[in-house]
Amino acid sequence: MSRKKSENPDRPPAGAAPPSASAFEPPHAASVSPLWQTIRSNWMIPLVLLLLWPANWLVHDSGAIDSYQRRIIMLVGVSMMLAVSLQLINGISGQFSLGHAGFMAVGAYLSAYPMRTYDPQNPMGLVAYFIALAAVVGITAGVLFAIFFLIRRSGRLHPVMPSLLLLIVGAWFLVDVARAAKYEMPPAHFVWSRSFALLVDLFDGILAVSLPVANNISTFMPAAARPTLSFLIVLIGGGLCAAVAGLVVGLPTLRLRGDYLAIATLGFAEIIRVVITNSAPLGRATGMSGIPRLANFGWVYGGVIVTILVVWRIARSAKGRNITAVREDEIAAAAIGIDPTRHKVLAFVVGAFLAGVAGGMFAHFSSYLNPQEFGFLRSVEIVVMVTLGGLGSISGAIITAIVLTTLPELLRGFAEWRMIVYAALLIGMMLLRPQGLMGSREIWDLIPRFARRRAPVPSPTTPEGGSNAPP
Amino acid sequence: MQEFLQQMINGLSVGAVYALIAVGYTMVYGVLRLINFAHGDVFMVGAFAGLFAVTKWFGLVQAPWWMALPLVLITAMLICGVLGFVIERFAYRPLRDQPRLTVLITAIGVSMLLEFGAQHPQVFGATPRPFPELLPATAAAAADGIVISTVDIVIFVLTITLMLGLSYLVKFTRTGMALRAVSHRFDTAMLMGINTDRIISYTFILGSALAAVAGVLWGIKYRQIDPLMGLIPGLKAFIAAVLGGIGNIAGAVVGAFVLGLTEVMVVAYLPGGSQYRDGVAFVILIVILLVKPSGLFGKHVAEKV
Repeated sequence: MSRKKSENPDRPPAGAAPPSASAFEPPHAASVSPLWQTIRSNWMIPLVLLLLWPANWLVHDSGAIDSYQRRIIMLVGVSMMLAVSLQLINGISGQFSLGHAGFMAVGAYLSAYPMRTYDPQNPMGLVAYFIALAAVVGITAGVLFAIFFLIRRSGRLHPVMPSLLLLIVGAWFLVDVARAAKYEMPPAHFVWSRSFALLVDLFDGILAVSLPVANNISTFMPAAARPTLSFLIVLIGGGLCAAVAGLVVGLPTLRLRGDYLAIATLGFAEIIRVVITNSAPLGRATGMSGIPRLANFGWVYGGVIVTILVVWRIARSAKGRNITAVREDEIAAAAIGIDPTRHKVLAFVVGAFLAGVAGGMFAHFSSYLNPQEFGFLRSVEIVVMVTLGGLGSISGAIITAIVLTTLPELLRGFAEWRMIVYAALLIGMMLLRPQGLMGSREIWDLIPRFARRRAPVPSPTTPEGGSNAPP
Repeated sequence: MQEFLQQMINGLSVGAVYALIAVGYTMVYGVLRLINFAHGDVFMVGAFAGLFAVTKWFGLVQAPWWMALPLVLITAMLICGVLGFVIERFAYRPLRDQPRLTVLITAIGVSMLLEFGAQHPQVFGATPRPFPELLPATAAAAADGIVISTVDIVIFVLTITLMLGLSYLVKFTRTGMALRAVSHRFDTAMLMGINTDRIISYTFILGSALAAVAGVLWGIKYRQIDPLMGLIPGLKAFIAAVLGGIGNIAGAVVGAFVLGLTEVMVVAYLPGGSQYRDGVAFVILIVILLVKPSGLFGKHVAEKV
């Protein structure tokens, strides 16, 4: 007993009268099982999701709402998903993404394309499609990252090496691609072009092998459930593609100071738009039509609820606290063992995923996609929603998303002034009330009874918050 | 080989315009650590100021180019200098002690205000406008299938002259020394009795005036301007500044030429390259941030507590 005592002087000796559990834990904790706790704090979620059935009937089949109103309701839903997911990036992690429309476009096109090209009656085939895509993208990214890593490391030999190697490899790549253009299948010494051709073959090969197998598996599913399952797969697949895009953009830029992200995401959204505009399978500038209308009210608002839940839970989890800590002061956060880049990338990738899902929803209720819709304007609109609502406030983002999506429909003659007013509002808000409409508070914090007892965490644009003090 | 040389000339002329814009980005970033999103739109306003100077205010369409060009350039520079000053004074200065995100959002707001304000039918209107032919369209020099137009020569010479003037200003004048001091360590410069507000205004005026020159030259080269023309060249110029190491003026110029050349070469030699013209710059940005975030000529600076 004495040995134990010396080992652990803080603990009361084992033989002594054991203190009741309540000295360390709240009295009820022992009696409540974790399962029950989960049920108790989540019982409203399935209830709300169940409410979507009658709501869906009301919107689609009751005749109370015409197709124009229905479209606006759906657009509001998509805006809410986009605004809340951007809130995770811009508000909660304090980064500044200006390319949310780009992620939305990735999700929209990459979920609509397989749905349109392959058989919706074959959900497993869609899985195969995404697996093939993942294989090709994974190999490309792996090789490129390895090359970049080596170039980076060469700085240890001599500081000029990375710049020099970069120019050489870049020139080699350009010369290779330019000179291989005249071949159908480039000869082996055109390393870059040959690799691209092989990757395309790999993609086709994986699909050729797996599609029949997938079709066989799909026949075991009930026919009525197949399109629904396909839609779900396509939504998640499109979201994952957007998340990978987020990783590719975020990983290099989020290690640096915040403002690079704004430019990089803006540039990324622009690249995506250029690529779509020039890609024949995605319909070029004329757009992609004939996407099956699978998303109804229930799907879209189910997506809204899931988005809100995910962002809300992340913001209030331990990880979310870490993310906010990084936002407040990166160096201090790093000093207490929080990896800033990891947490910033996490928030960014989750935000991109949710934007991709929102894009998939958009594609499957409007049934038509045009690269024009995913331009700079769209990104700016989402940013305005988040900023005016208050960076860090989820309900603020929801309110502004509803208002800013319906307002232009109500004020048709206002079109010329709309963006000017947005811009003026943005500047005015930053000058007069930088924390936005709600700050980082939620709507129920305004009602004294429901207010959180703690003071709300500062928003990234309030003077006492934000990681980047002026130089 | 001839085609390659011809493309080199095109690339240098495109790069020169980017250089004029990039310098403004890099100087403002140097003193304020702010990406001045509105800079590309100041460039657009410069082009429109040039257009109005030629067609409306002075009626210079018929005038000889050596008379018209300086007048147009100086008018555009004055207007943009004032615009740059106003933007800094009323949008950025009140936020000097706010978090950087606030200033960044404001900058985006100013950029949007200029873009969409200019698109309003009562201002410039959204449709592209033709820019008058200020310089003779004839080739100034041609040999062996290589054609150098007067426009390209003027762009190149003007850019080099302005850059030399700028480096004289920054290196050998008192204000330039103050500018370098503010850029080096803001607080210390203040303690040394430098009027930082004045230096910042000065930086904005200088950068905006150079952007105005770029705007007029862009109009002369491409013969068409519109209210959204500032967006993409502005971003590319910023990328050029990052490529050269942001905050480094000489780096920005070199970065702009590298970017201009790469872009032109991609368009000329890659299959379907012309469609991806605007994508090249962003690929370069991602690659440079991955491999050497401090830029080709930047020094790695660790963030201090």
